[in-house]
Amino acid sequence: MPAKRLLIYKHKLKSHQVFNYYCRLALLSILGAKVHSILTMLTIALGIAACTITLTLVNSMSSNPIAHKSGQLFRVQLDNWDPNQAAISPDLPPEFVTWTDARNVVQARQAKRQSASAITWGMVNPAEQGLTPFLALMRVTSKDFFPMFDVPFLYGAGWDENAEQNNDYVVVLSKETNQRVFHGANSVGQTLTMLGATFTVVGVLNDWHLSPKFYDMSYGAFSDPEEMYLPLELKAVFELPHGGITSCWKAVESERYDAFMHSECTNFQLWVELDNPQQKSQFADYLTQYVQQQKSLGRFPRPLNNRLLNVAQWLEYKQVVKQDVQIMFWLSIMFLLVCLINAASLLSAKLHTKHSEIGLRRALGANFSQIVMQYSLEVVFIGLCGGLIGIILALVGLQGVASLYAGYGRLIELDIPIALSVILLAVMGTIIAGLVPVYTACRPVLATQLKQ
Amino acid sequence: MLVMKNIGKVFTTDVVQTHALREFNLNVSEGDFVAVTGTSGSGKTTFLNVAGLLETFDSGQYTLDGENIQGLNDKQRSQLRNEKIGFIFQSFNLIPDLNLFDNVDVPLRYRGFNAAERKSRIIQNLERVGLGKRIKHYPAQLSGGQQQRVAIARALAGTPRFLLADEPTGNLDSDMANSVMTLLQEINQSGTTIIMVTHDQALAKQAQRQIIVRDGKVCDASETAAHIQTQAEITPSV
Amino acid sequence: MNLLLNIGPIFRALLQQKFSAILVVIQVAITMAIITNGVAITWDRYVHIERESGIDEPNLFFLTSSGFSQDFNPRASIEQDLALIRGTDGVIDALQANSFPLSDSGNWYEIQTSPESSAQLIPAASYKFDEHGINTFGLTLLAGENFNQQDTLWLEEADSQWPSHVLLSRATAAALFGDQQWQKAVGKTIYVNHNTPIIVKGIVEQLYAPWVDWAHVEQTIISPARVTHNSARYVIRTQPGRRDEIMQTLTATLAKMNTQRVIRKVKSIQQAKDEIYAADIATVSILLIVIIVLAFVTAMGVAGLASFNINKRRQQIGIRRALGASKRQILHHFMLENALLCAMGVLLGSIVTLGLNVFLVSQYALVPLPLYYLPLGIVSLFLISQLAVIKPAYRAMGVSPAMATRSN
Repeated sequence: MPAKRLLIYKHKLKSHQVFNYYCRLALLSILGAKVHSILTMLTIALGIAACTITLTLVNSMSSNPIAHKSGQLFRVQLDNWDPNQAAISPDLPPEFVTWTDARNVVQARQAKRQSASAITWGMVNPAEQGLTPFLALMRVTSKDFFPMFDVPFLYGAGWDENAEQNNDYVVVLSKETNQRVFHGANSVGQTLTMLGATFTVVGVLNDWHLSPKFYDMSYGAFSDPEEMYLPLELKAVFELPHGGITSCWKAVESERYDAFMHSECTNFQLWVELDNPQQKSQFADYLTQYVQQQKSLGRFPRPLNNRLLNVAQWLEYKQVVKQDVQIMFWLSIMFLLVCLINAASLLSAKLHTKHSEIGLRRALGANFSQIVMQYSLEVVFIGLCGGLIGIILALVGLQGVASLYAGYGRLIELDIPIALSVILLAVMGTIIAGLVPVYTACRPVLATQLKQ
Repeated sequence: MLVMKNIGKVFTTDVVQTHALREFNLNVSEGDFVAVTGTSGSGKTTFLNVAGLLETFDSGQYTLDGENIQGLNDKQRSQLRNEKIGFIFQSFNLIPDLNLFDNVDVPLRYRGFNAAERKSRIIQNLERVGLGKRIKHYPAQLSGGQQQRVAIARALAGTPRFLLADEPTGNLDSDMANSVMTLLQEINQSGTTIIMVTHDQALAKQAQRQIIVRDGKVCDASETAAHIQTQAEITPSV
Repeated sequence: MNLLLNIGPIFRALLQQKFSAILVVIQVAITMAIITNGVAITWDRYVHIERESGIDEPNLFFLTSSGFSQDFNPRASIEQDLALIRGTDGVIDALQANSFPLSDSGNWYEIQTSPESSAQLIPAASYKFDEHGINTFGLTLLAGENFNQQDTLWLEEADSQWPSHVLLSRATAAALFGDQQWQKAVGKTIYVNHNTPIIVKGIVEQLYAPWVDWAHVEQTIISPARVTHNSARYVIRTQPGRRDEIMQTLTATLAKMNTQRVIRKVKSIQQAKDEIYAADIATVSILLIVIIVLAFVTAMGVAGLASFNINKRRQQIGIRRALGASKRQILHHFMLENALLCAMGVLLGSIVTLGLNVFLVSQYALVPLPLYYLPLGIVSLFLISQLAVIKPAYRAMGVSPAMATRSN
């Protein structure tokens, strides 16, 4: 009877109390060498923090803000450049198109959707609203701009084809501008004095912050979207200034505004939406045909060199992720490696001092796997604590990094999945790194350890 | 050769003062083989540490081979230790990371001999203790008796004036112990003074002279008589 | 005792604890690779940021005046504003400029020494500064002379007309007429847009293009033109130390003086510079932190490991002391052991450093590591690890030789 009871007791002990016991032993061991444990955790924490910060940077810079449509949206590039010199060496076409080509391609309506746009600015004089005038950053664009880039609307919508054809003075406001001028009220149908004329508000955007602002990165890949949106044709009507990047290879013939508009100067972003490869090849054929036709008119002196890059390809081409950040990413991976090696050597040094304790435990009946279990728990615990401290350090570090990359501030936020995967990596790294010393510490013959 | 006069050594902790040695007097002549016995806690080890310049003493006078030890700094004492004293410990105290050659080499390095001199001394002494063929082995690969022989080779390599042995057979079985004792006697016969600390009376009897430490003092009055007796026995043969 | 003689036994002893020795060696190697490459990149960026743009950066600021009403007269407004600004106490000089170094926007043209198409085209950023340009920006005139009031040409927006005289930066003159003969450019006729002839009136020492990353950043051309524009940008140079104060008061005064316009984009050149170089400054700061933290981590690791090794070997130290080692010799023993590990580390580290550099150079537009960085890396790693081991080694010195007789 007593023997049986003992057996049951032993069985119970195995199920959960043994684990508790090992946890307590691990904790005692960690607390027993406080400075050592803190040093080890801090080491792991620093490596994790460095990796998390750079991974977050890389991730926030390389995110595709319109991933679900990335393959359907294409940037159109046409090579209208100098016959003797490529726009972008060695032989790339310019990134922007001319006013002429922008309008021709948009009006041809050969893609599912198409939009040509450019950045500009002008004075807004909301005298009716009792506000002082201000200079607003504006985008002139085509009506398709809004649906093709999934632009979110708070009130109203973009303008329609009629408005475009009639050169109606319509405007879409950003949420911030609507807040500034109309105090956030539904301003659709309201009028606004700007550019010396009276405009009607047709829509107000909801929060819209693209990172990166893939459709036009000329003011920085992480700049905010424009404050107002007007139909493309109004650029010529109001002779609005040419914002963004203007490149010319031929001198503009005269000083008049329309001379520039008919020149070979590029300033407009041309995007199309194409649903499938078939549509894409049809559109590519159309572009070829268009350039051939223009060649017959004496333009496009260079060989045919049209490019259609989808959003992902475009972001890669534009090298949105700063090279420095990628270099820092590699350095931080190596940094983590150093930290893990450091932790491993600290743990191994500690376990060396435990040889006699291990020998004693084994002499008292602990088997190999129990010993490994006991010390592995200690290693896991140290790894997890290191991970947690690391995330706290990363949070603090990201604040600092965000202030350094002021222009990117909004985007740099700790990504929980990244943080968790880095912790997982660190714990696994610590276990692997710690297992070798655990193994060598557990293996030696009893006698030699007891003798010491 | 080794003269201790009224040596005192006090260990002070927050709570108590322990007089490990008090008025300790001893006179060892050249060529002696002295066994120091006593129960544990009697002050044997402290005596050994003081005699071997491993620890300082608080009072009294200690002259080793004509040199007054009092007032020597650590560096001078280290040098003296290195040149004049060879140690043999109960737990052999070989350095586990070093092979036999390097272990015997340790005191010779501190002595500053040149490479050829060291090599010849190492090989000569390892051969002397019968381990000349195992110079590349590590301590863990040897039996206890063999390890103690290496320790003896190491102690002898610097041709010290005398050997201090601390329970040299304490960790050995009787066969091994006997062979180690035989070796020590051989060494003594070739002129090296030996002081051996042990609690084993049987072993102590094999020495020429036996002293007993009790409460930090050389206490047995018969010691002097025994001394004279052994001197008389030995002198003609020397 | 000759220290170096001790290497043999220490090395053989290290081989007996391969695992921890290998860890330290790898750690030192990777640390060296990161630190060496990191320092090289940091230095490269630092030099890039600290280049002299040729203008009096600390004492300059700029602002934009944008007129918005129908009856706003840009030219009258510009004249009036400049008169007021130049008359302000503490202002050295001011001008209206389309663009300036570090403004990150502007135009560039191709110029050549003859109108023939065979002549080499030299790209040069175009600035429109009148006779106040040299004084406002604090430029140094090396040859020829400054513009006078008659040279100035008033232009309408988007004008392509060129005045008859220009100033060149020395780099532009050197690109046109050869490195040794840049002085000869004064008085010569050059051609813009293939066919517009202009005479070089003078040469300024250094003047950067508006874009800091432009390949021809030192090549600039100044023409004495003023563009009347509803928006006018003024650049103002103040007496040293008075920039921020004048920036505030002047902005307020200008805004009050003419209510037909708004004053915006008030910024010092220093601010503009910080923004333009933000990414480089970020790289430099982050890398510096990484280098310092890494050096710290590795030092801590080396110290921690040495400390544990010494604790583990207390008895061994006692034995050595008993066998006659002096305290100094114990210190030297551990320093030497550390130096030996470090030597293996930097040996492997040199390979890892070069390997990492080859990888980075092949992936990114980096300049290959100058080879003198290797000895620098080696020396710094030695310093780091030797400094780290001093404290534990001092503790080892304190181990009593009596440890040897204690059977632990």
